[in-house]
Amino acid sequence: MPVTDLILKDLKQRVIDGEPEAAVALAREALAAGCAPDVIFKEALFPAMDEVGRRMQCHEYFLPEVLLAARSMQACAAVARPLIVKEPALKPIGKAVVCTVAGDLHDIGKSLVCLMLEGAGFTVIDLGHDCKAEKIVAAVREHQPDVVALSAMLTTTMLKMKEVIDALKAAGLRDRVHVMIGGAPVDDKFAREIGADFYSEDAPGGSNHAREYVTAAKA
Amino acid sequence: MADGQWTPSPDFNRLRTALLRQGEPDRVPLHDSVDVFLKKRFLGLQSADLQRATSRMQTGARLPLELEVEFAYRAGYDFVPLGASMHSGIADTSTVVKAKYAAFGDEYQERGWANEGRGIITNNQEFESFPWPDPEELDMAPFEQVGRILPRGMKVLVDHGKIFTGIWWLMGLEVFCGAIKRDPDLVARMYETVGAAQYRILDIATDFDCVGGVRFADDLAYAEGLMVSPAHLRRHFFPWFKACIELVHKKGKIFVFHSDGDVRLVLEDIIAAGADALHPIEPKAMDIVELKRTVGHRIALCGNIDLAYTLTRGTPAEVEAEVRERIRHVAPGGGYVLGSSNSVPEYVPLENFNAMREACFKYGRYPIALD
Repeated sequence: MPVTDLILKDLKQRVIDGEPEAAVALAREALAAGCAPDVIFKEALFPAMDEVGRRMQCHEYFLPEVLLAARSMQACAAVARPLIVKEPALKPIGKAVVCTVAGDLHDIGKSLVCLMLEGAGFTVIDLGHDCKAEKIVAAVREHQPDVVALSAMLTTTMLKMKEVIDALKAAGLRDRVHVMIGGAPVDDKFAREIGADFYSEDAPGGSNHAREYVTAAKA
Repeated sequence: MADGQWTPSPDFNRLRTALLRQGEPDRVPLHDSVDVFLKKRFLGLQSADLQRATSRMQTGARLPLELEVEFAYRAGYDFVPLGASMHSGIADTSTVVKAKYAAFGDEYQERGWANEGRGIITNNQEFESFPWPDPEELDMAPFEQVGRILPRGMKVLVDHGKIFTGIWWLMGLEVFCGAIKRDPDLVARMYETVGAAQYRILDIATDFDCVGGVRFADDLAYAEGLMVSPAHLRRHFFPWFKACIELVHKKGKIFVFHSDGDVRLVLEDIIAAGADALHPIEPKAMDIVELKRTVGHRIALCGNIDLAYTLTRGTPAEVEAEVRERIRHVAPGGGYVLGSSNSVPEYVPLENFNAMREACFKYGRYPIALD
């Protein structure tokens, strides 16, 4: 096995294990050994986050393990990404605007979705929490994302999701984006009621669906 | 059924019988944490001096004691909740947001949100310099006061818990998650300190004669599963949890455990520790009929009336139908206490809250005879 393959295999495992310092050292070692930066994403970081998502969904991983793995992935991405700015080999698979809706400060679920989307190859615009519909519409107009992902923790704030969808319709932008929703009180039925395209019960599910959606849409 | 047609008859033994699975009481008891805003509406209070407290998450906003008792009595509860926690001695670190949360009118309310990023104890130095509250200094006067005004038959349930939750509130969720792997000694010290303080406060609170039991709230899970691994909880959380239960039982009082979400991965640990009841059993997270079948003979079940839809967005008729169904499937034989699948926040319409209570009185009389 070529040495770069061995380094990438080790790097993937360090990301899965949530060891950011060791992972970054390996990312640098891979680059020094001649590994193309996009290969680091394709062969180590993205597969690592896929594995992390799988482990989360089957209750092998919980919040601490997922967060540490995601932070490791981000630290490596920060090393490798600047080197591929002019490289056409690693185009983002899509763009996603993500936020928690107005009145709601629940952040961790939304942050996990951001991290998993990033790990799946999306460019992520994280609008943060407590986002009013007009802010989301403005972001959609500015960034032209493929996907809008909305999070809410309360039954009262989840109603704001419909306001966002209505505002997107009013702005003539609804047909240009795939709207996904998630959070403690929402479900598939509510997604259908408000005219969202997809409900995900967890971050990996949302990320997997977004990847499938953009892959199919761009095929 | 109008309020006037139903006569309050508080009886803590009703609740105790159900929670201890000692057969069927006279009717299915009610249990909930009801928001101050809704209590005010229920009691018809509007006065400015009853504006809800800003700090909701750590100190537990409540009405003056006489009104808390009046609310519990008139609404049909067998207990009055009263908080006793080290967190009331710590400055509120939550972020407060003002929004139109309620189901009533157009008023703005404030809601405190826990820090999910960085908290106020993030390293050993901050741990050492933190002004930890002294349990012996906690103001227990409300327990003495409420003991003097409780209606006959009614007892106090101590609102307690928040060992796991309290630690991540103090540390910030992301810092806490990182520290589990990178600074396990700090995490262990946090559990020892918070656990010991909460245990001592529980010991003090449960010495009051007016106290009939404890509601130990610690959210371990999301709807999709536990926040942290079972191994972590078994090492750090469950020893304190078990100690608290043993303490409460030694004094002949009851122990209700509240956790949001799907706790099935540690359900055996909860039962083995000796918890009398599990609350609130979110329909999205766990199937109460399945729980009744599998563990209903080992732990009582509380809650499960859907807050995500029925209580908040449903009609009173839908609430009544859901209560009827829940009583029909889960109440026979006892071991069931009816209430919301989380709590009754300000965004539950008063008519739906009343529909839940009244349906419980209507269908919950034993023996249950519903087709």
